[in-house]
Amino acid sequence: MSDALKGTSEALYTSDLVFNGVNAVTGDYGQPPLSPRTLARLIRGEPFPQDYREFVDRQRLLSGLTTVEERLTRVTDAQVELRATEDKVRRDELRRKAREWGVYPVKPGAGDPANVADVGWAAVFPAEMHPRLREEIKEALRPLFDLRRTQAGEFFRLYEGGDAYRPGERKDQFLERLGVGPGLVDPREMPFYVLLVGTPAQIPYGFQYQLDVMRGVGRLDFGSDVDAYDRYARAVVAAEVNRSHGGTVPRRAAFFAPMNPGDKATKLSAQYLVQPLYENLSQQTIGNDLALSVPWEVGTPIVGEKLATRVRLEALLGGDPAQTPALLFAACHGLEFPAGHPAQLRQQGALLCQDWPGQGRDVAREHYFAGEDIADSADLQGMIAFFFACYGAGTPELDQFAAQAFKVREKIAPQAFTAALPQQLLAHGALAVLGHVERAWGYSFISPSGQLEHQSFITAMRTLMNGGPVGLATDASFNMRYAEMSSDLSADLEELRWDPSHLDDYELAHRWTANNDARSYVVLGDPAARFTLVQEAAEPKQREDVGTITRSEPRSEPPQVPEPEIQEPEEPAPTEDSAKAGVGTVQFAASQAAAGPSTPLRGQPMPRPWAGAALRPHGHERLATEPATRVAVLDADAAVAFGLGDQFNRLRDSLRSFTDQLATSLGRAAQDIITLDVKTYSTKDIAAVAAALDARNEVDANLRALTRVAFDGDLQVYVPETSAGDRQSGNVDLALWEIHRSMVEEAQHSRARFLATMAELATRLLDSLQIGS
Amino acid sequence: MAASTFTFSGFSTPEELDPLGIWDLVISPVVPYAAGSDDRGLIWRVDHPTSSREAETALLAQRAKVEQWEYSLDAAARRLADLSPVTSYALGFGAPEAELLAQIAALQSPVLSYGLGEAATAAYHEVYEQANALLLQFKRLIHHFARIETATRGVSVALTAVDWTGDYETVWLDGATASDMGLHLEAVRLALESRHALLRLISVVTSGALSLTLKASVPGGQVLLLPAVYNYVRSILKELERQRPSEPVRTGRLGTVEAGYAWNAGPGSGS
Repeated sequence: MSDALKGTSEALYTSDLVFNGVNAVTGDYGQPPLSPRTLARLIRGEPFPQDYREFVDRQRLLSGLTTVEERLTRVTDAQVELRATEDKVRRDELRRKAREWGVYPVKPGAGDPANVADVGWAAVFPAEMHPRLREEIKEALRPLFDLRRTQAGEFFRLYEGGDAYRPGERKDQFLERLGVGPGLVDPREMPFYVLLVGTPAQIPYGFQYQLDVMRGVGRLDFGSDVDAYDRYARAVVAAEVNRSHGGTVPRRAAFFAPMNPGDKATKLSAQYLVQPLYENLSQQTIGNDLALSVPWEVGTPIVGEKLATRVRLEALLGGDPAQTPALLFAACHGLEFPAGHPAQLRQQGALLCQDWPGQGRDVAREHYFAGEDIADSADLQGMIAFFFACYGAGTPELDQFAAQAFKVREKIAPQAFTAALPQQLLAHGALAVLGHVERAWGYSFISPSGQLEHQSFITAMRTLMNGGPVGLATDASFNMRYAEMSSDLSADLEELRWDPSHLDDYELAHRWTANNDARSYVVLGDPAARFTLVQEAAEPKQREDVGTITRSEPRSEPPQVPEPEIQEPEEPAPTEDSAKAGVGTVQFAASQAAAGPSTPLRGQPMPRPWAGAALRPHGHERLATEPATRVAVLDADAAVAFGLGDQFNRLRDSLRSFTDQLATSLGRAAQDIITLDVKTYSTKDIAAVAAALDARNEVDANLRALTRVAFDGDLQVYVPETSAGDRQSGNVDLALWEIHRSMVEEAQHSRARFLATMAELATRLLDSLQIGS
Repeated sequence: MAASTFTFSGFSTPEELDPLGIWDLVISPVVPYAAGSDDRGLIWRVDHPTSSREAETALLAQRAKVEQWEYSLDAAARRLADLSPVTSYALGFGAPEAELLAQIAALQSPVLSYGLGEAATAAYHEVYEQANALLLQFKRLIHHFARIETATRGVSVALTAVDWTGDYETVWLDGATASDMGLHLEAVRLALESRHALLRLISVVTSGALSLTLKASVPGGQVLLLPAVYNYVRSILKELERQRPSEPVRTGRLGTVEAGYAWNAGPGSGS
């Protein structure tokens, strides 16, 4: 280790730890700096009162900047236990892997994990997705599905309908339901490459992390923007087809790393992540690292003042085609907003550039680059980007940091979401984006002993540069690291319960951070996507036009990628509607017609029964076009004319009464929601209590325990004593206490679910009353 | 050995059967269907012949049934959403769809012809009564507190009242065992999941009726379609239930509950 690095390392351990995110509203760090000792206490779940106050007060201060309902979700002991169980499962998986040596991560004999034909490909849809939207997305992704189906053959799967991901399902539950066992991947059970299609609210990040441990997993989430799915599918297909026909994009890698004044995090990432990465990747062979099979032009890192500016980043991201690389690695602060802030969904995870003057200074719009800054004309086809930044890939709904310590998790967003910047990149032709969900810690690539720990980055980048699938690139790097870290951390935490000296605070802080960091790297895009490399291509061709896919010139040798066989679509004759389907549809059809017999896009235009739907908002299009007002007029007139006026009025009164009841109850609930009371009594005669309740009389029972949960998370708890005799000793009736706690958890869960359903019902009824009155 | 019994009083349906197929509805003879004057509220009661593993398994099986039922409800909602009475009334639909579309067509007929005969008027009266009764029952479901009672060998061991805002009050019989407590906790979960499932049924029926109203221009609108849509959804659920092979209770769920029992038992209780 160099002296400089050693000095830096020591300084790190004697000062506060800094996260890699900046709050866009305050200009301060999103996560308050913590001392290693404080962090260690939080990880252990043994915070001092002042740790709690410091952390939560800060979160409350931030949350107070916007109005967000239902900010707190409690973490129960059962969930903590569940996490421990999941850790054990992970440990078991690792042990099994060690025993069953083979071509990790697929079972021995399954073939080459880089080859989709050997290990298969699947897409998973969420059960919660509206069927109509799902069908539209499937249709939009059809070129990609056809390509993968042809490559994977019998190992191609679509998990939808009864096999879809169901709300709340854990990975092990999902696999068990589908008859898939843990351990090395057997493609006959479930393919290795798995594309999750949907939002992280529909298929949670937690599920993605865990499925990713043993598989190559990516996510495609464009919400209901069906056109974006369509563009992405065509971009990936074009890239792979061009690969077989000699087309490729410039093999150029670029590094972008601001060093904001006085900011420790970006200084560390520039000096100890970006610079060593550059030095490693600019050599075709080095040590025992994976050798690069083709030469790459690795540009000198764009670091610091006057270089790593927003203008420069814009040029790298399609603003200037001459500067846009195939592989971009950016290490900087990701922007963070308070939960529910109007800009959160659009700009959280945006990359903060050198233009920001440093911690505590206002963050101005011109300091960062967000998804909405991608130019419409930007051509990013064939690019893979890697963002080392807080929230660079997405944001979960709940704070992943505080769970162990406080059993209270703050909402950091109204719901989990995918960052807009990578979404825009993918919609403009990028093959994939690797990034971090939640906060990234710039500290995780240096060990407590001062060793650089960026092997995961090197392995992932070299695999990508060799044309390896992006899902495999992260598997042998971050996912392996996560599995190992998680296993070690789990064992350490267990040991620490009995032996506080087992691990010192610094080491524990490091392990927790590294585990969190490695877990949260995700792939956005098709996990089987890869660079289109052609070894003999001296002068790479120009990028293909994503919007209008055209046939490439055939190579003399046979294509490397099997040609997909497109089923001849049973397309009905073009209708007027399909003719109006919009630019995307028309262009796609035209390009297919031009594609010729040797491309996977040959044949007739893809059947798009939903043609035209993409041009209007999804969801309520039928309501907008149907004659609602006409129905309302007919209601009253028809009823009176038929001599049924009284009955009809009575019926309408009933509906009003029902809706009024709902509204009254919801209003009452809104007033009473400040607290939740759970009381536990005991009695000698339950039947007498029931009778008293029926008669609305006073109930004769002894109050034994009371828990009052305030909306802000404060608890008032009165615990039960064993008996009158024991009151002197202050002993607690443990059995009664345990069941009381269970009831508290049940009450919290039940209320949230009940009120959500009631609110939905009320909304629908009020809508119907408006139409029917 | 006798099986556990599950009863639900204070609520009724046109067919006098629990839509979930779990609870035996207790219809009070003094409270005719749709009268809505039973002020005791909604009471779910589980009687176990013994406080045993069989009782626990029975509760878990019923909870799994509720969960499965909710998935089926999703499927029914999707079929309902896909239904289009304006394109074709007869072709290409299964039996439940055909029946619903026929009812819609019948309700639409006055729009086409004002010559309403006596039989048609009577049919309308019946539909109005059914819709009114359904609305009253829906109202009961959201108006009243939930009460859950657990009995073992005929002796009530616990009672939980849950008010509309979610506050819980539980009364335990002195000397209730850890096993009794675990069974009651499961009964509370089952009852509240059942109530939630019924509320979702209402939501699907009302929104489905609204959607069809817009599509089909039925005089009387959403309210008149409520009974027809309700019957349609029930038919779909029955159809899906028939198609589903009987499944054992999932081990994952059991495992969770077993952990809960270990908790409830406390150190050394050995339950």
